[in-house]
Amino acid sequence: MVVTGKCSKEGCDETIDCVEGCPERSECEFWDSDDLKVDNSAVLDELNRVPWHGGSLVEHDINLISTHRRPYLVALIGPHDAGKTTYLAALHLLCCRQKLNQDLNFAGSLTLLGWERIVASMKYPTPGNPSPSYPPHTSHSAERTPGMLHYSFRTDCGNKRDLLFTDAPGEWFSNWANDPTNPKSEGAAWTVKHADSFLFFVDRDSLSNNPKNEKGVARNQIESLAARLAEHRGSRSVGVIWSKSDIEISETIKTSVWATLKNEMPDAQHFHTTITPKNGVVDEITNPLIESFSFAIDPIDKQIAFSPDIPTIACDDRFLSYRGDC
Amino acid sequence: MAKNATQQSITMVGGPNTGKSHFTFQLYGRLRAKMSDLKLREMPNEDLFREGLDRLNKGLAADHTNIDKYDNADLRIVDGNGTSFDLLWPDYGGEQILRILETRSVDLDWKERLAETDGLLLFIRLAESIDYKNMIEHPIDVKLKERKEKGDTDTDSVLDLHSQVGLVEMLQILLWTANRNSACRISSPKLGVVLTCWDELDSQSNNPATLLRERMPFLYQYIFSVWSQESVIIQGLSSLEQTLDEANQNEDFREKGPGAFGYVVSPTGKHSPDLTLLVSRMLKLLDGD
Repeated sequence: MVVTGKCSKEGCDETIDCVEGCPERSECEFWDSDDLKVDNSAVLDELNRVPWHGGSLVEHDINLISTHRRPYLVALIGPHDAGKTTYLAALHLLCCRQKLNQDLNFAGSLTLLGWERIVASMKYPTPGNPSPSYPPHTSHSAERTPGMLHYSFRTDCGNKRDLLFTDAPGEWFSNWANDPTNPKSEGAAWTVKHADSFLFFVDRDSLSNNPKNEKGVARNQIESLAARLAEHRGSRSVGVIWSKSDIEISETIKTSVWATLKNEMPDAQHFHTTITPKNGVVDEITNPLIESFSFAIDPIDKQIAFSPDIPTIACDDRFLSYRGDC
Repeated sequence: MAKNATQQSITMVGGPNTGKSHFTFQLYGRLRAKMSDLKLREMPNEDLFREGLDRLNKGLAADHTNIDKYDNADLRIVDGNGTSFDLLWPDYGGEQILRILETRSVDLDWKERLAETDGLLLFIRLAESIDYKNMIEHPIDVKLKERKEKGDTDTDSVLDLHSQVGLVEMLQILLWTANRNSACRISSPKLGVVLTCWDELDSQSNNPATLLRERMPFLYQYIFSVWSQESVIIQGLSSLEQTLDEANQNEDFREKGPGAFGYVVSPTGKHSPDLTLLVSRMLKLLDGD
């Protein structure tokens, strides 16, 4: 409730503590009651407003979905410009068209505005956008947690599953690979700590012979990030996304990176994604997306198998003999 | 507004220009002609419908000239068994529904109606839905632009009721406001989807559900994940069978009258000129509880 008004006592004004010592200004005898206004409309608006804002979620927003069941967090790990946001945008465009997984049906999202923001530049020709482009860079911020995009799914057996995908700036992970205790690595450390599974991005463009690249530095960066993740991930699963897979890279550098990844994370599964398919076939874009998505979200819905050990001896006790309706 | 405990209500929702006015005026005309089991009850705002129907009799598209005079266009109806129900259109002015996405809130009047309503009738005009090409479904046939360094707030995207994503957000907000739990599939309020301006659609499919699944797969998935299958009905509608102009009169409408035009497409794809079927099928769904 917003209380507005004026104090009539000389030397006292609303911006400082009441000189009469009243804890509540509205109860003070010098408070000008004629000017007292209770702005009820603001309260009503607030009550009727939905609790989600539509944009990507930050740390405290997780409360919105985690009361029902802990959400499943997929962390997208990789340096700047590796294609993490483009991967998410592609996923959303695909979700608008078809099921992402055979057993999951889209059942809502608290971040529709956030999803639409990252796909906006990929749609064409729109009034302000005659030709498409990749999503804008995720800006490097001092936040402690990444922005998160949300989907809710209904499984075929009727359960609801909430998934979160992190959309963090790549710079976080480069810092984290170098020094996980550095304050600049805080966001990356949070992401890795809370993730249920990882998608690790290898940017093929950065390993190519493109003269703008320093492919040696890029190779080293991928290798040190992989080593750092291997150190922290425990038994959580990792999918390696070789992004921009239409770009040619030398066999030598490919073998070298592959060998490091195999050594650091031997159980990781590898996927090859692209937005510009070589043969112009849409399946080349969509199949790796669907496969890597299904891998990352662990589609098996874990049911709690609870079967209490009830003694059968007391069969004259109706309560203990009850075995449910089925 | 006091509400009879046994009286049912169906609330019409949908973006602007989705054909709610033409349907309501045509329905009013059909009910007044006493051609079906459904009859009109006494209504305080009958002038609104009379004036709307007059426009159609003149062969002109209905306009929204009465927005200041009426804040709703509710129809009060009684069925063949003598049971009363209201077909509510709380947003006759068309501004509320736009504000819902803008302010992410629903005003108190609406909130009360939504909390009590037994059915939602969602109007969608597929021919006017926005569906741009994108880089995933359409291998790029134009030159790519340089990507921006960061999100441009000037051209920030907003959710639009002409898109399936905007409609999903609207339904999420309405259901939250109506205090419906989504942990399990819901069976109340029932959902009736109406694909309007059926005459504009150039489609091979004659089945409304198939058409919705093809054209708005995201919304379709959402609907059947949130509602139980038996609580949803998807129908097609062409209220006028053609587009009327606001200034140039249509001779056919002047000579034959609006009663000679309009049809409903049943969930199985059958056409019928009886526009009241759209509502009576919805009522049947309500009674199926």
